[in-house]
Amino acid sequence: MVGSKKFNFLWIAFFLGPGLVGFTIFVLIPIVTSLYISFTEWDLLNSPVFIGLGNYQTLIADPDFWMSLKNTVFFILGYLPSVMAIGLGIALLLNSKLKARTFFRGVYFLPVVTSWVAVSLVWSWLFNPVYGLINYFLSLVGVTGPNWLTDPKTAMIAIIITSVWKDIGFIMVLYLGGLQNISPSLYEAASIDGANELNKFWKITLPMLQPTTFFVVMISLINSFQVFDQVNVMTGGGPGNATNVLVQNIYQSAFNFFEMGYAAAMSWALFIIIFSVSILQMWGERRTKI
Amino acid sequence: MAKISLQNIAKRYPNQERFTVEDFNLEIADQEFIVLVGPSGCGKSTTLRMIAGLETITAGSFLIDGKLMNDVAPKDRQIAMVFQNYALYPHMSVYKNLSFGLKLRKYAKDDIDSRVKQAASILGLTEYLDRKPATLSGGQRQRVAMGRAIVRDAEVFLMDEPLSNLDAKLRESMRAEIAKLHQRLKSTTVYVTHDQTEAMTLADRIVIMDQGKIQQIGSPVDVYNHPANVFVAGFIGSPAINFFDVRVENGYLVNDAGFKLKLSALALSKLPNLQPSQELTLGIRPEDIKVSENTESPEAGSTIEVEITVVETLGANVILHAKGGENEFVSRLNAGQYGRPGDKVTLWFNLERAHFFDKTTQQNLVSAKASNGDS
Ligand SMILES: Nc1ncnc2c1ncn2[C@@H]1O[C@H](COP(=O)(O)OP(=O)(O)O)[C@@H](O)[C@H]1O
Ligand SMILES: [Mg+2]
Repeated sequence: MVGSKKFNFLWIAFFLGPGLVGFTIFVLIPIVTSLYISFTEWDLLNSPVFIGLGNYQTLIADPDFWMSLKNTVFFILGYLPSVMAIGLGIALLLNSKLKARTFFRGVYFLPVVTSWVAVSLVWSWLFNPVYGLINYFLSLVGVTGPNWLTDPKTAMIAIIITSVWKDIGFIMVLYLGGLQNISPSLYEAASIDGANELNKFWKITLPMLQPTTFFVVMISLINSFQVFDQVNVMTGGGPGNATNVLVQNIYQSAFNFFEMGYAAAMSWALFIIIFSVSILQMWGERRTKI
Repeated sequence: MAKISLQNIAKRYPNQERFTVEDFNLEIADQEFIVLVGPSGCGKSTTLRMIAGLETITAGSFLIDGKLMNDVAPKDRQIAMVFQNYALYPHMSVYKNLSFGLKLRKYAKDDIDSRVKQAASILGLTEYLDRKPATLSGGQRQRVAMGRAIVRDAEVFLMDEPLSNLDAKLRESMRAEIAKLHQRLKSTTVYVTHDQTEAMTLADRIVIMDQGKIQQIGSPVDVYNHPANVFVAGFIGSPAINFFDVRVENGYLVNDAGFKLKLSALALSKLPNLQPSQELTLGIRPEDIKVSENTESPEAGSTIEVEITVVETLGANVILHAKGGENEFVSRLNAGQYGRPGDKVTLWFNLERAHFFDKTTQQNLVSAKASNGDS
C-alpha cells in the first residue's frame, strides 16, 4: 500500500500548501500586523512607535469615533428593516405561481452581482438634483426634490436607498430558499383548519421563516457595519460628517491623516462589534432551529 | 349528519391530457366508513383532495347533505383531514397544533381548552401537550394529526394513508384505534389506503379504484367473495388469488401449459352462457386449493399433480408454492407437513368457490346475485 506516513504527509502538504501560503500572506500576517500597529503610533514615513493602549484610550474619548458609530447605526436602522421587508415581499411574490418568475428572479439579483462603484456612480447621477431622474419624477407629482447628496438631512437616506436597492436581490434569494422549505401541506392543513391568507402568513409563513430571518438579520448586520464603498463614492462621508460611517472614518484616519495606529485600533473596535454579532448568531441559530 | 354524494366526478390536472379521476359515482351514508383503495397513482388522494376542497373538481357534482359544495372553500366544508405526512405545524406545541383550528374558528377560550384536553386524553397525548412535533415519535405525531381532526366536531373525516409512515406493529394497533374512534365519534369517514388489509378491516364499504376509475364498490365480504373483475380479484386477498388462462373443452377447463380440471355440475350451472371453447380467466384463491390426502379419494378430474417449489411457514398457516406443467400455484394450508421443495403432491381445487372472468372484458361472468344466492 502507498499509505506510509511520510508519503501521506507529502500529499497533505502538496494540497494544503498553496492555500496555507495564501492564508498566511494575505490573512494571518495582516491580522497580526494590524493588531501590533494598533498599539503604535505610525505615519507610514517614520517607523512605528509603541504606545501600548494609547490608541484605544484615545478612541474611547474621541467624539468622532462615536459620531461615526452613531452614523453607522443610523444607516443600519434605516437599511435593515427596509431591505428585509422588501426582499421578503418580492420573495413572496416570486414564490407564487408567477409565469416569468425565473426572469424576475434574475432581474432582482442583477444589482447584487454588480460592482458597488458602478452602482454608486449610477445612483449619484439619479440623485443629482438638476439632471437626476429621481427629482424629475418627483417634479411630475409636484414635489421639489431635495439636494439629496449635498443636504445633511437626506444624504444618509440616499445612501440607504441605494444600499437597499442593491441588496434586495440577495435577501430575496435567501427568503425564496426559506419559503421553498415550507411544506405546502402545512398551508393545506391550515386551510382546512379555517385559516385565510393573512392567517397563513402570520401563523405559518413568518414563524416558519424564523431561521431564515435570523440568518438574514445577522449577515446583513455584519455586512452593514462595514458599509463603505457606496459612502466613499457617493458622499465621501459628507456633507460635513452626515454620512461618515465607521469604515469611512477608519479610511480617512489611515489614508488622509496617516494615523495608521489609530485606524488599526478602530478596525479592531469594529472587529469586536462584528465578532459579538457573530457570537449572537451562533447562539441564536441553535435556538431558532425548528 | 353528513351524507356525501359524488356524482360523475372527474379530475384533469392542468397540462395533463388524461383524466386522473373519471366517472366517479359514490353515495356515502351518514356515519359510514368508506375506504378508497387501489394501487399507487390510481387517483385516491386526488379524489380525497377534491372532497376536501384542496383540488378543484373538473366536472361533476359534489354534495354534502344535498348541498352543492364544488366551489366551497375547504374551511367551510365542515371537514377534518389527516394527512399522509401529518402536516403538523412544526413551530407549534402539540397543544397549539390541536387548538389552532379552534382558535381560527373563534371558539371560546375555555371551550378550546377542554376540547384539546379531551382529545389529548382520548389519544394518550396529555403528557406531550407542551412538546413540539419534532420531539415526538412517529406514532405520537400520528396521534397529534388525528387529534387535530377530532377536536372540532367535523361532520366528515378525511384520512389519506394515515398509517403508512408507521411500522407494522404500530400500524396494526393504530388501525384498531381508528376503528374504535369511529365507533365513538360516528363521523362519516373517507379513508384512503393502498393497503388492502386496512381496507378490509376498517371499511363499511370498500371502493376499489384503478387508473382513475372505480372498479367495484361493496362490503369487504362482497368484494372478496365476488370480485367484479380480474383487477379486483387480484388486488384483494393475500396471498394473491391464482389466475389461469383456460378454455372449456368437453366439460374440462384446460390450457396448453398442462392445466386440466373437470368442471363440476354446480360450477357449470353458474355459467349458463358459456360458449364451447370459450377463453376464460379462472381465479381461485389460495385457501381454495388444498393438498389432497391419499386417504380421501377426491372426485376424478378435480386434482392436478404438481411439484413443490417453496414452502412458507407462517405459524397458523403454510403457504405452498408449486409448479405443474407451466402453471404456478399458490395454496394456503393449515399448519402441518406437506413436503419439501422438489416433492410431488396432488392439489385439489374447490371450483365451487372459483371465479370465472371473461378473458377479453376481464369481467366476472357470474353476476353478483347468482353468486350471493349460492353462499
Ligand atoms: N398536482 C398534480 N399535478 C399533476 N398531476 C398530478 C398531481 N397530483 C397527482 N397527479 C397525478 O395524478 C395521478 C394520481 O395521483 P394520486 O391521486 O396522488 O394517486 P394515489 O393517491 O392513488 O396514489 C398520479 O399519476 C399523479 O402523478
Ligand atoms: Mg396518495
